[in-house]
Amino acid sequence: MMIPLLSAELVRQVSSLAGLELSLERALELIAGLEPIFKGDAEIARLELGSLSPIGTAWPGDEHG
Amino acid sequence: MGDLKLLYQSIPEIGALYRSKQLSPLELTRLCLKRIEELDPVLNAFITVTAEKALLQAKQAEHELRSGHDRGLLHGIPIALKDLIDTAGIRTTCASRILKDHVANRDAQLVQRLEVAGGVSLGKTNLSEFAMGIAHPDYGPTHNPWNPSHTSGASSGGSAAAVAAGMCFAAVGTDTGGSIRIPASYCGVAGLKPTYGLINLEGVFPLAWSLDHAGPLARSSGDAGLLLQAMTGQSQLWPTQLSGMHFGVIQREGKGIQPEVTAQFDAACAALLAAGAKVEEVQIPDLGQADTALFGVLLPEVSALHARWINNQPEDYAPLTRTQIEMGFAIPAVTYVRAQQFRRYLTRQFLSVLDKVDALLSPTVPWAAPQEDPVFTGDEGTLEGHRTVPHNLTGLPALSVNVGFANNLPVGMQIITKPHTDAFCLGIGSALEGLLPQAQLHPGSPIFK
Repeated sequence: MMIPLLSAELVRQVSSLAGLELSLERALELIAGLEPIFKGDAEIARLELGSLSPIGTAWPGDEHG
Repeated sequence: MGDLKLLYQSIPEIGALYRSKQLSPLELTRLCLKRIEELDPVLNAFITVTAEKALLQAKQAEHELRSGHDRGLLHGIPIALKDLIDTAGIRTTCASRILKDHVANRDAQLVQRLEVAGGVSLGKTNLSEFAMGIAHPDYGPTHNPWNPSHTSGASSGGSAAAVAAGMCFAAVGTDTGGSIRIPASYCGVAGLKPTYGLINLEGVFPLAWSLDHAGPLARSSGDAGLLLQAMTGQSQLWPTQLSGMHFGVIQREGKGIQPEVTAQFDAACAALLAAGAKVEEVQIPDLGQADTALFGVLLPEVSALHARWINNQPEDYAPLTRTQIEMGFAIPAVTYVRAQQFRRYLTRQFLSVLDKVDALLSPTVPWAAPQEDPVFTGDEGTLEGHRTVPHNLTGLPALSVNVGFANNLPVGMQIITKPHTDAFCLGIGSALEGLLPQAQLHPGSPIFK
């Protein structure tokens, strides 16, 4: 997976789609925190998690869950 | 017995004094309130002290115990609650300007359980804003009872400091990435993040729903077990023999770890070996991705929760809290879902190793308490939570106990066991505390007269 090259404009647009209007200045401030998350996500994507369900209790077969 | 010695007795010891009529809940509650009055101007551990209600609860406990209505070991014991746990008629601020006047009309479920068990609530403890890691300037940080120029840790720092300073005998905290265990380590107390879902969170203000846990902080694992027992209604005491047990060590080394912390951790492992346990290093595959996965889950959940306020009154947040909430809006849904998948994958890796060992051990935090809390999405914050975060992702019980000191500040060791073995985890903690009497000290800095 390619790690996206973040720009203030991209962060502003994506945040707007998710319901938050940011100035370009504030969007720019977020990039330093976001880049390591996207980089780490790219590492997780390489694990080929396939059809592993993202919901329910984290451990399998839990009768308490 | 002197007042200070009384304030540092264990809960069963206090219970014995109550039942032999050598001490009353009212006397002890007054002593705790006096202690808060003396020390809180320095420590800032409490946001709201509910002296009047505490004295009424203590009086009732005294009357009940004298008339033979014994609710168990927590009966008449002074405790405290992190100020994001709803209490009917008493404000619950989340240490925020946004909720500074919020008063719930009913108690959180865990508060109801603690009241049934007869606990005496002294008040609401300080935390970082909305439990996100940064103190709001309206409230300020909680200072460490071992050295007030250092932090007590985020986010349940008020609860940990109150327990360590002898202001109360146990306190409730919450933990989404280490917020019980990091302050427990910094303040030298026992702090358990229980199995995910064990404690009902109804009436506890969320940080991130799928990662949030509530749990006990106390001066020993045994006392923490008593608070957990009251909150769950299940027995949480499991006497454990260390001889013959098999421990796996994870994350012993790593970026930023202080050599003094490693030395204390190694000394505790040596004590386990000397007690007849087997201790060896083990590997959890892909553990290095846990920090990213936590942010991938936590930040979008936080942002969804705070969407209305961050749009309408962003200036009411502390600047760094605001930035962290805003970040979650830029994280794609696929990143969130993949992080949730990774949690299940990581849990399988942990359970596979826990099939071969009885429990896992790691340092809780790579350093002793710093002067200020790091920003949790920054480099320092990531390192601070590097050993606690994985267990919020997996939901496994994880307990921090004090194992020694570095530069006169406490050092915690983390014990991790399988899901729903919280009593076993506490039993190991209790047995380890018994091996390390030199670590079971109380703050003695000059502010303690």
